[in-house]
Amino acid sequence: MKAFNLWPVFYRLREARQGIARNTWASLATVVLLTLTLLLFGGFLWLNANLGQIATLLERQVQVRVFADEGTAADTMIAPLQALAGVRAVELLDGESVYQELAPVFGQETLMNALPTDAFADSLSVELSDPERGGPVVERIRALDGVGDVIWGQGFATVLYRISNGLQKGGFVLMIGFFVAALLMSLTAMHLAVLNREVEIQIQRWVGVGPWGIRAQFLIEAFLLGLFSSILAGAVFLYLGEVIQEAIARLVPFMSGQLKSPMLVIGIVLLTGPVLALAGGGLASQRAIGTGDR
Amino acid sequence: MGKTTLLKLLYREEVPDMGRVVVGGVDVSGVPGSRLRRTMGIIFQTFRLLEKKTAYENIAYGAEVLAVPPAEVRRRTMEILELVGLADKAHRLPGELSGGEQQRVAVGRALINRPRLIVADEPTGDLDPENADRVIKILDRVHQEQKVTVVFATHAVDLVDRLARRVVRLKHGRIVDDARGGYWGLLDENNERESV
Repeated sequence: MKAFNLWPVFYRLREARQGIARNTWASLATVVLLTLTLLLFGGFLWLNANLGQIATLLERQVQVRVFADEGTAADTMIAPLQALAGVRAVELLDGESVYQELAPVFGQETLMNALPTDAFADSLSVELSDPERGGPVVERIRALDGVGDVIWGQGFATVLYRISNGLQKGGFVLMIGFFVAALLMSLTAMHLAVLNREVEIQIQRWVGVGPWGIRAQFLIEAFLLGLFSSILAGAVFLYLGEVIQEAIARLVPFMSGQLKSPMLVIGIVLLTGPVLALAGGGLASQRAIGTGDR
Repeated sequence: MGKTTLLKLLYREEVPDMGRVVVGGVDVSGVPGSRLRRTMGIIFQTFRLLEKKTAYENIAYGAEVLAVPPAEVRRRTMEILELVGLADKAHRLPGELSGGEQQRVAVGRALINRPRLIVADEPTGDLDPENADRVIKILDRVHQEQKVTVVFATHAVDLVDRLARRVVRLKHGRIVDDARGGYWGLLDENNERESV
């Protein structure tokens, strides 16, 4: 059986490596720009993923929490609350489930040392039809018989909720924007590389290299540049992800357990870099070399 | 249609609007351009060498890009450097070579893949008579020893005449003469020498 000849693969890899080394500054600029774009892209990806979590948390804050008077069972308040105008839904939260919700945030042991398991009274979570105009509804809730405390985050939570929602929507648009920017960046860099090697391309055509043979070098080069960039961006995320998580754990303890790990984002960035660079290299070489074997 | 266009049709840089181009008995319209050019060596008036590669590397490049194994590339390149008389200048960059030497490197590059046909478009156009003569002698030697067909377009009537080979004369895109024996001989046959 004829042995598989690996020399063409080694040759293309060597040429791509030499191509990158020959155009040191252009290659460096491409890697830096691609890395920055991938960082911005990944940053917004992470932010977006976490905004979903934050929004869910804040959503709870814009809901009204109602505690029944002593001697009144919380579940008896469901019907009168539901009958109020401006109330969309009412949910009974028993103290035990609240305790269980807090356990992952503060740690089971810390919580057990600090509070008994029956520390939380049963309460009612009231979802308003329009949280931004919830003031009068909350007043009507307070006036109901059997209602003890009413907790409503009002302004602060509503504003945060609005911001997080806006960021989530805007973040998606920005993410698409950075994705397109990274593609254009790699397209421009590879276009310059192709222009820089016009004579080489001509010679390859004259000696009989097919269009895909000529393109292979640029695609491998683009892939390598994309891979360097994504590894760099991934390393920065790995480092920054930990720093950010530590800072959040210090500043906003209740959020620390809720943040999504940056590992998924790192994985996406590692894949995105080479794919974007390949797409840029493919488009740039397509324009210069074409696909037909004339 | 001029000389250059005619040669471009041979190596499929151009495709004809009508008619057929037959090379070695094969209609080239049915052959992929890259496969066709692998059987040819192409030489131009301007040398089109890679400035950052040495004479050796420029010649070897033609075979390397076709993924010829390194040992074979080395062997062929050394042989060709001897043939074109540049073995002692193998490691010089194009900028360190004279025009004639650069064209010999370009000839070497055209020969590296052992072509069956060499297409040369004004290969001596930028050279002084002495260097032009040297390049023509190399092509003639390749033709004689390796039985390679050499088609070259030129204005250098004396050079063509000295070679005394088949000459095809084009006028306004049409073949007006096709005969052996050099340019002046061709004109003598047609009693045109007086008019030139």
